[in-house]
Amino acid sequence: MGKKSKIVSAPPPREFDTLGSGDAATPPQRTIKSSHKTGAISRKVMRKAVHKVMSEGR
Amino acid sequence: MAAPGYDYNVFINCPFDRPYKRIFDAVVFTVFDCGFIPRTTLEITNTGEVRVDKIARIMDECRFGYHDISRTSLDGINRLPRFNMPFELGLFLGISRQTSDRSCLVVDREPYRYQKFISDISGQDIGVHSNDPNVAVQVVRNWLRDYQTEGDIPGGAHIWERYQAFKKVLPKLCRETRLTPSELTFNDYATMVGEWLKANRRF
Repeated sequence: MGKKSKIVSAPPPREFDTLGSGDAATPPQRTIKSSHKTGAISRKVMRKAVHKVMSEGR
Repeated sequence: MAAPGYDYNVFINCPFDRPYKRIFDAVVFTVFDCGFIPRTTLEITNTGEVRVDKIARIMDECRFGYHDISRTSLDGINRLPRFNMPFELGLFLGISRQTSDRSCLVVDREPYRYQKFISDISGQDIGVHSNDPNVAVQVVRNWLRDYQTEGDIPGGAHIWERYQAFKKVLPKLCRETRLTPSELTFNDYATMVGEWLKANRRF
């Protein structure tokens, strides 16, 4: 008896995002690094200030 | 063993004077926006440390080096040129010979001009910023793009647009933190840029 051939289904065609489709995958984002510098204003204080200024602008 | 953050640290060797500040601020912003960390000798306030030791220590911690050799003119008082930038470039190139993964970007204000005053590097391609911060952003971005492995980096025009948005809110940020824009130290400015970028992560 011959060996049964294994049927493998073809993978689904790869979908490409099209510009303007509205559901394009988000590209991987680089991480913004913290500089950990001594003698600088604390990041916590700065973060608070950034959020306050941003909320004022809306 | 490489220092923590070595793969992200960018040593910035450039003039620290008023005329250069608009390029310097734009370059610092761009380095952060590309996902790297700018490092300069301005970050150390300890005057007890010997200057050249300070420079070498920070360079040791940096895989990347930005070297602006455009300030070749004679200073108005002493009628002498500034040698610090070419000296630090030489130091960085020397350190780079010990570790093959280092990368540096040498920039001047005009192409080929450097061959007349520092011919030892004439075999290298250098970047040109034309004394324009917008161009400097593009040059730095294109250089770092090759080394960013975590994700995409927006184009230079987009980074410039974000930088303009940041500059617009800078006085407000200073007011909130009781700082004065003209008195901002490098460390304060770096913290400000980093936190603003984290809060404005739109691609």
